[in-house]
Amino acid sequence: MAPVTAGKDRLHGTLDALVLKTLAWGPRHGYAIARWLEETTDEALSVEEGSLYPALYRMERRGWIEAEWGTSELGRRAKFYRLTASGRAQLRREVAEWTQWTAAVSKVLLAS
Amino acid sequence: MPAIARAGRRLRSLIWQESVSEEVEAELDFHVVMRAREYELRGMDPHAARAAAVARFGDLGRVTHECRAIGERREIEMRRSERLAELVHDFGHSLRRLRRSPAFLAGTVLSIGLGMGATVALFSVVRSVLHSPLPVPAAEELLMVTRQSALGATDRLSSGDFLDLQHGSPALRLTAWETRELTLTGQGDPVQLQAARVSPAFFDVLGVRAAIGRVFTEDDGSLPDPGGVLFDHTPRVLLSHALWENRFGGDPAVIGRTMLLDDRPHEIVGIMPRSASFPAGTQLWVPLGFGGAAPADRGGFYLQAFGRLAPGVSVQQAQSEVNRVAERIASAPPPFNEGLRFPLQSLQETLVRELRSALWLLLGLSVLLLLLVCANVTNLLLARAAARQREIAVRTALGAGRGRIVRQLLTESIALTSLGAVVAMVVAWWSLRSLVAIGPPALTHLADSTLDPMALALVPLLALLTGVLVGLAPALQLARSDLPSQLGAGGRGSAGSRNTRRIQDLLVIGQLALAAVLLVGTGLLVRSYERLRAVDPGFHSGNVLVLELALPDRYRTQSEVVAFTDRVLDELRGIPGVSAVGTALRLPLASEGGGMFFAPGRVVEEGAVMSSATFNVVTPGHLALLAIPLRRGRDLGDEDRAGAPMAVVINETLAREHFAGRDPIGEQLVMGPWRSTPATVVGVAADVRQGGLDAEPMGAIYMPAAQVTVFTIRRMHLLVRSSLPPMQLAGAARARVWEVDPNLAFARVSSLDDRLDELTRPTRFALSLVGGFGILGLVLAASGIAGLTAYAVAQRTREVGVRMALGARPRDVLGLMLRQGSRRIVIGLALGIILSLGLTQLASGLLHDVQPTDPLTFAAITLFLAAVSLLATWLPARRAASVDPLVALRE
Repeated sequence: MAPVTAGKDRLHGTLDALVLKTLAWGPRHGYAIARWLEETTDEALSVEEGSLYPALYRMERRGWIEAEWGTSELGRRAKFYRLTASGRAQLRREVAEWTQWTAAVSKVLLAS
Repeated sequence: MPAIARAGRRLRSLIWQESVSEEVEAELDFHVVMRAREYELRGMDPHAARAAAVARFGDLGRVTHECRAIGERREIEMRRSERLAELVHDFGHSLRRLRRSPAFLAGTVLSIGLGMGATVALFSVVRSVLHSPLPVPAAEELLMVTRQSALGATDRLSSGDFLDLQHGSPALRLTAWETRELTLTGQGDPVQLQAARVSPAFFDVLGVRAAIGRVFTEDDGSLPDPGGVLFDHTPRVLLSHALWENRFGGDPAVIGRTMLLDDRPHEIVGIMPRSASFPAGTQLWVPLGFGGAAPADRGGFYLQAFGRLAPGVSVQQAQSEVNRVAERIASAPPPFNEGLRFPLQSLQETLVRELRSALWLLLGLSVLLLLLVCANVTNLLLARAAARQREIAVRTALGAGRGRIVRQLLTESIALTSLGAVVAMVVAWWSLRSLVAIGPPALTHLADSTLDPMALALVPLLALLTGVLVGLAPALQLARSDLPSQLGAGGRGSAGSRNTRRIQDLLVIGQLALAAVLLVGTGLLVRSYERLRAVDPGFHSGNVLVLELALPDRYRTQSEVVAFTDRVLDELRGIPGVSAVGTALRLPLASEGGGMFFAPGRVVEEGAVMSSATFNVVTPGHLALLAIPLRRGRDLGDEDRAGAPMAVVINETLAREHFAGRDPIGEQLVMGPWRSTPATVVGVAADVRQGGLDAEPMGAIYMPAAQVTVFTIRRMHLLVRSSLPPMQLAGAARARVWEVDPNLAFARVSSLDDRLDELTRPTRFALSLVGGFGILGLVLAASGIAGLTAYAVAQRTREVGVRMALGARPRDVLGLMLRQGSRRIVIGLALGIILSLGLTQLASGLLHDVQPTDPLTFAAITLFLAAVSLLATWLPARRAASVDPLVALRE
């Protein structure tokens, strides 16, 4: 398998993977994605809003997610995102890379 | 929100950028509100909660900006692919629709292809001929040297002129050339080749290099034995690319070999590239060298010269230098150099001058044709569009925007013209080849028979333009159609179709006008051609065979030439059926060649002014041979031999101009080269049009070949009159000549009639082109009128039914339609006549003895077009009259 690079892309990639995985559970609007990640990780992961939305727009442009305006639980208009087929494929790739990455980093950091 | 701001918002939301921006703001605002609510639920007060929520974004403005940028980019990409998909779909859809009406498709595609193809072909010709007639570097620096003096204007210089100019004018790097024929022997039948004797600097001045081998150097110009000749050439030769391919099979090893030209072995030193065809039609170049007699030669004008401006020198500077040389020459004898000037002209300009107006005219004609075609297609599309109004109305009702509909319709017309473009390329390729094949020689030498790349690039552009042009009117009409009236029953007679009718009317009027212009042009040319052929040439050309020869240099003196001629003529007389034979330097109506100076009287003083006349060197019985009437005295005969007093025959014009009132027989003339020996006039012949059918006859002198001793005249035309068609004798004639000298090559063997036909070739060429355009224009205009009338009839079936139900007779209905159609015809013809009156002035150069406003032609064409147009209106209108009122009312 090709080596995974360590750089700013890695950070983007991780956020993308998190969002994609979140949406795998069903369509959500941006706030719901942020709350889901916070809750699922018991507040361990706090998403930076300043990175989340640009990431969502980027992923929409690349066709991994698609957006639709709808009504939120409280009756307000919100923009809902949903995973596309190519998004699912991208998610699988990201998970595979992430596994490879952590394995590599662990080898270094956990070596005695 | 205040009303104004709302209105402003609505206005701005028409522009897509605002919608993306709005969405981003709304989305981020939602998030902030939700987060603030979360904090409020935990106990923060609303203000602080909101501030904290915003703070989580870091710089909210920057995030908004970033998201908006990404969003806008995405919008652009989406629209682009959407448009592209739409376009592709529309194109395919259009093609499928077109397939369903094959007649319409075939007709329009062919006519568009024709119009476009002709335009592209002519554009290619215009570009290659006018833009770069000389494919050499910096061709605008090349100037042709012409000569002007008391004797007239000419483009030939004498050797003395040229050498003086070369010496005295450093601003120009000069080179001279002369054309002549050389006979190639030793490779099968003797063949005459077109050669150019060029001074060694020729190719340097042009800026052309040899493709293989080398061009001439200064050494090649030094004669081994300068002696007393004017000029000669050293035995080296450059071959043209075509000659090299034809005669030597393109073998590069030919360099260094020799070929026998005029019985002298010439060494082949190089092969010129294909593009180097200057002077036009040259097959060989040999290096000119000046002999000892050259600097003093002032009287013989054989050389043509051009030069390249030295770096940094302007044309005016070169001109003034050259004029200084002229003054020096004029200040010395002989006296006919009075007022000598050497006007410099652009070399390229001299090459294209004659062709320029003709070519632009042709291009204009084909654009006209294309416009005619477009008008027809637009009319057809408008008619079809009317049938689709319902379909479009439904589409609009279902949400297709106006812009989308117009785009769709335009795609259809562009699909049509694109198919036409494919046909156009074939038409262009074919017509270019035919143009170059049948066109006048001046054109064929210059035009490249392959399509200019710029012309090819023009094709898609033209397809697009014509597609839009043709489709715009129908598309706009349809898009504007009034929806409710279309969707309702009987949607007819609305403003839309009134507009359509008006456009269609205008188009047909335009077509008629254009067709009128083309046909008037054709008519004028036809009359011009007839006038030309009706001119009495002054001799009888039937059944005369012409064998054109140039004897090689081994015939050293005129007496050797005369001996040869006598033997050959004897042989030719022996052919069965031959009634008369002779030779002549010039054929009647051949306009090339210079004149002879002469003056009446026995003696001419030094410094006297002489007149000039054309001359011909002929054998006894020439007048009888060509059936030129003899007015007084006698023809030249056998008694006019070498040693006998010189006899000449003059023509009526010369007799009138110089011996008015006196009987010229027995009078004496002194001619330029024989100043000391006056000649006696023995006969007066009728005028022959020497300068061509258009030109007025000039004074002419016929001299006996046997008595011309100063020159050796090696060029001649053998004339054989017989009772048989000339070409049947050609083989026998050639064989008899070869019995006298087997190594002679004939420049040309043809009948005198054929030669005369060639003179009218330019007019016939123009005639066939304009005529072709005219016929096409007529067909297009007539079909346009017929189509429009048929459409109008179909549209008004109901109205006709009502009229007939109310008592109108079929005749009345027919009359109504005819009257309305006539209005169009009258306007169209009137417009056409006015246009023609203006435009034909431009072509007056092509007309012979016919006024550009010739009333007969105009009247005839007007009547003809009116008749055709009325017929085209009547035929479809007849159907209107045969409508059954009941059927019509029910529709």
